[in-house]
Amino acid sequence: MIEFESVSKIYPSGAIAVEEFSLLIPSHSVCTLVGSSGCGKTTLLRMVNRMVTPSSGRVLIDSEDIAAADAVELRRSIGYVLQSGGLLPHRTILDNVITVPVLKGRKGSATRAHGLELLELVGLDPAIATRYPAQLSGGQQQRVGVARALAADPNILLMDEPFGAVDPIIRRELQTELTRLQTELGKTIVFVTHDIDEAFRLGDQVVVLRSGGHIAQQGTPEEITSAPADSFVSDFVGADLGGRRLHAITESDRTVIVDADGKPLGVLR
Amino acid sequence: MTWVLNNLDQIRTLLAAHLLLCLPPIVVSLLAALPIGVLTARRPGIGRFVRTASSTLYAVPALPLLIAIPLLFGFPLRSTATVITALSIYGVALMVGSTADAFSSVDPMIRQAAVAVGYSRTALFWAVDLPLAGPVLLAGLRVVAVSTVSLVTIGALIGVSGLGTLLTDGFQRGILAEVLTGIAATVVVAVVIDGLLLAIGRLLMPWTLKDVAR
Repeated sequence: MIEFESVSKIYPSGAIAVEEFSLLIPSHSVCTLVGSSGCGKTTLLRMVNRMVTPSSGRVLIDSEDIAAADAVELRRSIGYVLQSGGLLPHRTILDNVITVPVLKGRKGSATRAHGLELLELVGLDPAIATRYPAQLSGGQQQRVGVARALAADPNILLMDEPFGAVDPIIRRELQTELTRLQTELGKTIVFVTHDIDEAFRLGDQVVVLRSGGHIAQQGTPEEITSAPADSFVSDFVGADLGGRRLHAITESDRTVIVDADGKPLGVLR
Repeated sequence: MTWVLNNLDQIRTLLAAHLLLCLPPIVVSLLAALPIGVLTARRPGIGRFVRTASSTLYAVPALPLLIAIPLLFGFPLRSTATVITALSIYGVALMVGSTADAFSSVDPMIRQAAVAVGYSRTALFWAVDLPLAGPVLLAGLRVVAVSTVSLVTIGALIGVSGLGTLLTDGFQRGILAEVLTGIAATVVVAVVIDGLLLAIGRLLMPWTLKDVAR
C-alpha cells in the first residue's frame, strides 16, 4: 500500500510541481496517473523511490514513512521502469536484468539463472542475454527494463511512461503483456502516462491530474468514462469527442458499434 | 640501413631509455587528471578555471620548463626525474580537458536511471560513470601517449638519453642515417603504444565495438 499524505513539491525557483496531493494506492493493484506534461505525475512517481523529496507532506509504504528509510536500500526494493528502458549501454542484457540482485551482493550462478528465467517471463529469447542494449529493438529494450525491475522481486513497480517511445502496435503488445504479468504476479504498480487509453487499459484505479498535481478525478475507468467530474476530465478522456460516443446499429443479424462519425469500431456479441 | 645494423646495441639501449622516460608520464597523466577532470565536469565554476589553467600550462615552452623544474623540485638538471616531471605536467594539462569532457559526455538520463534502480554514489562512479566515460578518456589518453613519446626526444637537449639522442648526435656529427633512425624509431614507438592502448580499450569496453556478436 502506498499513501501520499498531502505532499507538495515546490522548487527553489518558486515553481510548484505538486501541491497538497493525497492518494491511497491499495496493494496488488495498478494505479495509473494520467495527465498532460507538466501536471506533476512524474514528480509524484519519483517521490515514491525518493528520487524527489517532497517539500512538505509524507509518502508512506505499508504505513511506514519512506523518509526514514535508507534511500539506496529503498530504491533497490522498488522496481523502476522508465522510458526506453533506461538500460546501461555498457552492460549485457543479462547483466542489466540482474543489476539489483548484484548490487545487493548476490552474484552467483543462481542469480544468472534467475535472470534468464526473467527474460523468458517477459517474452524474450534468453539467447539475447549476451547482447548489448543497442543491439535490441525499442520494444525488446522495454521488456528488458521490465525484467530488470522484477529481478529483486519487489512488491512495488514504478513505471514512468515506459511504453512512450515504441510504436503503437508494439505498445499495445507490451500493455497486454503487462496485464498478463500482473495477473500472474500481483504487484502494486504505479503507472505514469499521458495516454488516456493506456491509463484506462491498464489501471484498476485511474487518477486524472491537472497541473500542480491536483486530482481532477479518480476512480475506475468505467466511473470516469460514464461520469466525468467536470469539463476538464471529459475533455481529457475525450468523452464528448466522436471517439467515445458510440452507438449500436443492427444490420441483418449482426449488431455493429459505430462512433459518432459513423465509423464502425466492432461487432457486439 | 648499414648504420642501423652497426649501431643496433646503441639503438636498443636508447629505445629502452625512451620507454622508461615516456611510460611513467602517460600513467601519471591518466591517474592525476582523473580526479581533477571529474571535479571539472561536476562543478562548472571550478571547471572554467581549471580548463584555462591547464591550457596555459600546456603553452609553457619545453626548454624553460626543463630548466624551471630542477629549480622548483630540487632535481639535478640532467636527470630522468626532470624529464618525467616535465612530461607529466604536459600530460596532465592535456588530459584534464579530455577527462572533463569524458565525464560530461555520460548521458544524465542513464545516470539517473542507475540511481533510481539503487546504485550508491561509489557504485555509480565505478560501474557507470567511469566505464561510460571510457571511450572519450581513451581518445584523450591516446593523444597524451603519442605526444609524450615524441616530446621525450627533447630530453636529449639537456643530456637525458632517449631516442632524441639519435637526433642531437646525428645533427652534430652530420650523420643523416642516425637522424632518420631517430625519427623513424620514435614514430614506431608512438604507433605501437597507440595500438596497445586501442587494443586495451577494445578489451575493456566490448560494448563499443560495432560488430559485437549478434
